[in-house]
Amino acid sequence: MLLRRVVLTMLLVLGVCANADARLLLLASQDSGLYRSFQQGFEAGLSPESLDQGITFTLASDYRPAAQANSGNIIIAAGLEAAKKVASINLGDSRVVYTMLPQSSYQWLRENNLLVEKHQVLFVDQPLHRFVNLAQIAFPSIKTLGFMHGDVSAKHTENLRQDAARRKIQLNDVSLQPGRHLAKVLDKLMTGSDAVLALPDPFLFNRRTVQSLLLASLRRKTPLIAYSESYVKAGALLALYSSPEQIGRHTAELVNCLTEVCDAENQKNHPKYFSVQVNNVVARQLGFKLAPAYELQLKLESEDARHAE
Amino acid sequence: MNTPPPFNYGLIGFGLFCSISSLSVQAQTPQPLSEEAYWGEVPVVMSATRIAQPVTDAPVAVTVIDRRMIDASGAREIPELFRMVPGFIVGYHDGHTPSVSYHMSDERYSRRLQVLVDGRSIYTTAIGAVPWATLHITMDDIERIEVVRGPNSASYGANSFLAVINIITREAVLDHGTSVKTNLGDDGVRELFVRHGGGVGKLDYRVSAGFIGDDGFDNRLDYKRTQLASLRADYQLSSSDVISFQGGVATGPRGVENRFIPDLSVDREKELLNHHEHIKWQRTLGLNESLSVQFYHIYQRNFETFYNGAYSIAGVTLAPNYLDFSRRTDRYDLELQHNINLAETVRVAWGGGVRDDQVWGGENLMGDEEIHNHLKHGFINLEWAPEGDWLLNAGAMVEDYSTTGTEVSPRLGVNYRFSPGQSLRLTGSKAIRAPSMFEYATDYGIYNAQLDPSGTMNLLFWKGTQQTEVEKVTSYEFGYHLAPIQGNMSLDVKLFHDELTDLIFKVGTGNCITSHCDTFLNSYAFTIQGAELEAKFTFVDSSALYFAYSYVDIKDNSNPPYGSDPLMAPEHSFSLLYMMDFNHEVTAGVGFYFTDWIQGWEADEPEAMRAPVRRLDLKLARQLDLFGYETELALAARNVLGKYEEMEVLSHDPSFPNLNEVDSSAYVTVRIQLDR
Repeated sequence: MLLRRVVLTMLLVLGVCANADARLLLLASQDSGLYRSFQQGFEAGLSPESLDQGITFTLASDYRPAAQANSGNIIIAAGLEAAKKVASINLGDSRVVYTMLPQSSYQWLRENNLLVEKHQVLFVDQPLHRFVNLAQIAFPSIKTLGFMHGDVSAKHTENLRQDAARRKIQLNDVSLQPGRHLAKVLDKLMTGSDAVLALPDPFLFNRRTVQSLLLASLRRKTPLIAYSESYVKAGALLALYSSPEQIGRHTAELVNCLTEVCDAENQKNHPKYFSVQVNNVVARQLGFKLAPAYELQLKLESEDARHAE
Repeated sequence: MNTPPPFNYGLIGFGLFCSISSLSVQAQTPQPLSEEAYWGEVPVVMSATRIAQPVTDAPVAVTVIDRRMIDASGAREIPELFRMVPGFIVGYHDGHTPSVSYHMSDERYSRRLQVLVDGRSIYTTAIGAVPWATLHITMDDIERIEVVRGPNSASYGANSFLAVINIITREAVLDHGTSVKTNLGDDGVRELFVRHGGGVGKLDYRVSAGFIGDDGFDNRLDYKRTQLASLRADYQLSSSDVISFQGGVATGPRGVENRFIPDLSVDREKELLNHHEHIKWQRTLGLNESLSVQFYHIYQRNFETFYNGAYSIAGVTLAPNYLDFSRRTDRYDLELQHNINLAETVRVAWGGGVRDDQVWGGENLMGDEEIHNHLKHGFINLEWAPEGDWLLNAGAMVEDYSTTGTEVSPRLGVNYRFSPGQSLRLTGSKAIRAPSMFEYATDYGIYNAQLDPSGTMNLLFWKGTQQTEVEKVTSYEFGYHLAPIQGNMSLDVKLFHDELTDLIFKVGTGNCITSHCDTFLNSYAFTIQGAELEAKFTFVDSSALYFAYSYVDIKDNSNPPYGSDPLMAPEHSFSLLYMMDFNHEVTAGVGFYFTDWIQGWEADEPEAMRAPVRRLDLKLARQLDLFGYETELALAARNVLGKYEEMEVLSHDPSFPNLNEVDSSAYVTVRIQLDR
């Protein structure tokens, strides 16, 4: 198993074709631990039928397409760079699965006509209702959910408001701009919310914004629910996220669906597998006694199942 | 000499220079998000405390003075804020020597408190006091103040004897932009502050410069003129490493009025210079582990020389003698701390450090000698929260002083968290206070003073025997805490019983000519017991009410007794602060403070008692847009109920009729944010 992993990793790094007749092509945006984890999950999730198709792994930047594309190929474009690469090649009648892709970047590709017609997509973003469910499961008495957004995440506001309203939670949304007002705005948001939600946005990848946000959460004793494990390590109380391995596994299931008899069009675009992480040190500091992360996750999965019905 | 000097704004220029040299943060351009950002590292926010705990789990009572309370109080200087904390006593020897103490106020230097600024002990080892008037921070630099009401040597070492004040300043990342602020008002209040914060790359910084000045109390020579500048720089070395640097300098003259012996000393001026450098490295080793190392240096210089007046005693008169009461302190401190969760239910903070205090006193203070006091210390604090409602806090500090030897300060507390947000606590602890170098080794007096027309004599006032030992307290606390988790009210009730022994006081031991009048001895013992209550209500209109009450009973256990009926703390005191917020544009605060009878410092005669004080302060502030600049206008009316006598040496000596009389006064504040 270990040997197989090493060989596959080497193949990915070197951009070497594993199988000249392979009908599954995995284009990775980068050679990094992130994509190696994704690849592990992907391999583990492929069905024997899919494996029989043969797989080629390559870096998007190294990929040199054949003049004539193989008929019936499935191209798995993992990440934004891979998605851009796919837009520049002749695909024939290949089907494309976009994965490891932020929802906002998918919209950007769509607006710039960079998406192929026949495709499935799996976002890295969690569905909004899952965040709302987590907020209520973790804090049953929550009445107001704060949501700060930059230009990118602002698009979620209305959907989030509706999801929150279904749970009888009021959404307290604030538009953030960099600069000296940031600390004051965050303070006000934290004061007026029972918990605050941070969704991916370029604005929230700024170190200064993140630090201001975490400091405001700790000082106002308002829990922060974030979208990545790193946030929890840094000082957020809770995070809901999917690991690259989990995305890989879900991507494999989409591919299985395409190689077998399955209604691929009805597959969900958001990750099926996810994790919940709790920072117990912050929980103590904020005075919250939360259920363990695995219990929160189980309850959330059960809510997801109800949502799907 | 009697005229206050003109105002000097030298360091303000430094602040303005830094403001002009500001660096801007790069603008963002819209790009599609890379998936990498979803799993990218996020810089860790560090905690400032030994073991970060909710107040419900803390072993002792803690008061948090937050930014809103600071703004609403109308306080112009940091010591004023402690009027609202239950059990605290604020007094003034003169306009520039405030004294903040807890449960016991017996002299101008409140020696039994630990005061930290971002983990740096600013308690000066020379005279054993806190240089409140020359701190290098402004009110606007403060994020919050945590006041641990009770002994805490187990966490913070010697001098955390009766309480610990922990001042936490704002991180540099929160203070980008440039602002100018001025306070103008009665009593010669003329103040100007410039602040600038910015960032470049992984560095965030804040520079503050200011001028603080007033003329002190009416009819007294106690003006102060302080120029100060400070810098805070936080560098994010990696997502889990931060290096912070803080530095500051404060300098300026103070008026000194003779309050000692008529004609012996004279009205004069002294010059102060303080500076500090503090560097701290913090590393997060995971969700459950962190490490920090800090080093700081504090320099304090008090330059005070003069010629005595024509003082007559025993039929002889002194000729003018050059007297030197200057002092200088250097403190070098290195400390390491490691926090780790040993299990899901066990958290530990342990560490240790070394310190060197170098104290020099002038000819008439310490015989022109320099004394070193080396300290080695180690500490451990453990929190055990087994399944269920119980939580145990245990800790100990071991200190080894080169002057007084080795001491251990243990603490054991148990909290019963019987419902969410509510807890009962029972804690017992021992704490010590190491003698100041003044108490340990002073030789305060004039040897071979020249007489007029000829001859010499000694005038020997106070003496430290270099045998002075540490003061000790054994403290028991029973408390109830309600956190505002499920509602809009927080409440804390504390019952306490403290046994203080080996307290250092001046004891009459000589005739002042052949031997010193007084010697510092570990001669007194007291029992202090009582109750405190603290409550905060937040109302639906966003206004909030803070209320605190304290009952203190002091019993003299000394042999021979200290006095007939020592009353070094008011039996009853309470404070009330109502904070209003009208759509965030207009804010107002009403503060009322009551202090019961209390005896004057260094006195136990009935006539030295101070009558109960009722003080009312009002503050009104308006935020507005002035030609595109964010502006704040504020008016603070202080002590509007009329005159009262401030805590001081109320000896009622006819030679010194001018008491510290506090009159009604007001000042206005104008603050302009210079970047739109």
